[in-house]
Amino acid sequence: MSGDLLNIGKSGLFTAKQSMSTTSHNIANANTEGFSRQEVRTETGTAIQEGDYVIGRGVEIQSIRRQHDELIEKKLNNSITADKYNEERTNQLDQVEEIFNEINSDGMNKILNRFFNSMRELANQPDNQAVRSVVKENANIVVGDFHRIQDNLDNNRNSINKKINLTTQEINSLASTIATLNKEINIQEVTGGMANDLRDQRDIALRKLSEFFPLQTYSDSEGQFVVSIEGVGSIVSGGLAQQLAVGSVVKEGSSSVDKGNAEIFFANRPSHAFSDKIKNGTLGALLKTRNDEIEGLEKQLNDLAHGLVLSTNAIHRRGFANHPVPIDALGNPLPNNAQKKVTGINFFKEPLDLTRAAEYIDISDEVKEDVNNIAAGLEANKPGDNRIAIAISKLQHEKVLDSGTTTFEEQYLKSVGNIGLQAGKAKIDGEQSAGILAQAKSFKERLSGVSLDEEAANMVRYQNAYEASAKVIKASDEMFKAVMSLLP
Amino acid sequence: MSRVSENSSVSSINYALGKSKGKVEELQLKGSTLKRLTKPSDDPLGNVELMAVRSQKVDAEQYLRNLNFAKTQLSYTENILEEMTDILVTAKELAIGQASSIYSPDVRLAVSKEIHQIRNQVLGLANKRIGNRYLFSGQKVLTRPFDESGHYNGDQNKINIEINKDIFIPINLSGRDLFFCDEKKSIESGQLNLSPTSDDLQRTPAAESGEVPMSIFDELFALENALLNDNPKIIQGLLENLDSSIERVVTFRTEIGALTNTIANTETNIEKSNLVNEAHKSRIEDADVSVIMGDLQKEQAILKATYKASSNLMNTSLMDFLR
Repeated sequence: MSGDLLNIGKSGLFTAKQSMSTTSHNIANANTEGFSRQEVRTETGTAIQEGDYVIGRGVEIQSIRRQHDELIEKKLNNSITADKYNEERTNQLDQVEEIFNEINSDGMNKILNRFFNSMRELANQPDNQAVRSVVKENANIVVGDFHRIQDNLDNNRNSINKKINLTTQEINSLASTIATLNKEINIQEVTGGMANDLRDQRDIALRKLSEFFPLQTYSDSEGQFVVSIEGVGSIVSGGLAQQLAVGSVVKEGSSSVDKGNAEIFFANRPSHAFSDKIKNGTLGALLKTRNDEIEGLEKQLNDLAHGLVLSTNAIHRRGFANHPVPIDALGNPLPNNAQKKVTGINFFKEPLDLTRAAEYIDISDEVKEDVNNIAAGLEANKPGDNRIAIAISKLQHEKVLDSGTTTFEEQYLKSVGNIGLQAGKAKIDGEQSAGILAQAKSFKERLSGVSLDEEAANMVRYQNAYEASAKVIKASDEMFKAVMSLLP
Repeated sequence: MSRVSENSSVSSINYALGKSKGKVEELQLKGSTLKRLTKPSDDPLGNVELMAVRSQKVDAEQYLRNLNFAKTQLSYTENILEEMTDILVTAKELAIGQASSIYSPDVRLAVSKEIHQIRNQVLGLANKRIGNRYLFSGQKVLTRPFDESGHYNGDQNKINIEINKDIFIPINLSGRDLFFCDEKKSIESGQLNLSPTSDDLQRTPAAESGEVPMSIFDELFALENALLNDNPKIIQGLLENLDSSIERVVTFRTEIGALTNTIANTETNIEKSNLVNEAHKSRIEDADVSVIMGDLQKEQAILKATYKASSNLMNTSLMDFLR
């Protein structure tokens, strides 16, 4: 009987010691990223029947498990994805909107405006060389600003493409890590225990992966842990990781010029780019900004440049340059003076291609060469005629674009307003998702995080249990001794 | 009872501190620039409105410049017309004096010399220019409108200037309209239709009419000749012509007066709308200092409280009480 007592004492002692060691593991890892606190689950030892009684046989360790809730984990991953999406959107759109920020500096709107007003000044004094130079200079600034915006948009697009490339590499390395962890977890858990720390590590890798795209995790029918990109397909399945690759893909039916955009696909299926299916996370934000905002702004910018060039030229060509114009016998002006054109002159170079109008916009060679080639008047040999200059200046308020429904300014302001709205929305959404993320994190930490206070209390508890169990052993020893002393 | 772990309290402290600090930083930026807007997303609609208002402001500046340009041209023209009226009235008085046959040829010779002078004076006025631009040669501003014989070399075109959005006024009188008597044209007519496809742009240069109607120079020349030839009958006949010429010049003066009035009104309008725009602009972009400072103080107080609460939370532990 006292052997029994000794065993029960031993089981208590052992359990208390194990609990103590788990507690110290928790304390040691209190600040380890992604660590879930562990707990020793105990149960009563298998009771035995002796005569009429069922007698308890001490304590057994059932398992050591981490405090973890799959739903909370998934919710956390989702909030990470959403928050990273908004963060990256804010980041990218901040840069894009800065291109169009003319609150404290000059921008396209002011510059275009100045150009039209210099035309008005030219209408006052069409014979004045200095005013002509001002018109040319202002036109040059307009050209320069189109180039500035186009260059900046190109730069943003390039940096997004580069970032997509780097992100994909990181995804690949994380996918491999998860695949390896899957294998190790399987090996460790084959005996029935829980690979707590490895599972924590896998969760860390999943959280990191959630930053890039929305992911889904599940165990398939064979118990394999699967990670898939939402709406695309699995990227890790058990011990196997699919590698992603990046390349430029010319979309079918796309009329826009191929700018070598980075598109993502599985390395073993290069013809199926799925970048447009990723709607969330850092990747989703990068792709949306590139495909929606930057591409849209580029199109609007090209429309603007194209419309400005065509409508200005159409009027300008009808006017006569500030040169003596020869007259034929009927009194009609001739188009050339000593092989030089005096009418039908373009103000801007005619664009070759609508989709690259902003890139190629420039002042025509004639105007570059001689400011007197700016035609201010409608009739030949009339230096005071200002009707062309007025007509061009009136383009400012003319509904020229979008098949005659918007003015240059309205269209440009629409673009700027829209990018401002998008950037503002990203910021507000970002604040909201940061709040949600903080909540999800604290949810998780409340469940899984280590509380030093709690561990301190446990330490006292287990120490006491250990001491008590030791006392039981001592008591049983004394009882045994008492029996022994009866023997001669 | 909800559990609190080390990490959950640290992350909630971090979140609260980050949020509060971010707000203080934003308010400090606004306080230092005194602008409510620093980038489009601060107020997307306000930003767009601001840009439109600024465009209007720049336009208004240009319109004011145009307006002053027109004012100079017109007042210069008006002065010339005034001078010309005086001269022509003198010529008419002389002609009235000489209309009867009581004067001797000697006297008429002297008066004819005076009329010759008057004709030269009028010619001088007709060829006046501002800078290098002739006032009375239509759009051929660099061509001298009248030669010695009084032949007109300019055209009949008006030079229109936009003095406010879509408001055009002519700033010149063509010599043809002012000095010739056959047709009296109002200078209000002949405005440019601005649509680039309009007929106006397709119009071929106006054909100069072949016959030359009588001009003020012709009248004065005829008067001079009549005096030299001692012919009071012709002088009497010319009185009516001179009268109608004077009347024409005076009418043009009145019209210029009306235009000057329009300019003055437009100027007032532009300045008024400038004031409104300025107020609107300031409402959009300028920060309300008292509100910002108030918010800043409030936010700083919140931050301080957060620090204090955090330090309390982080410094206590059960360990302190176990021995």
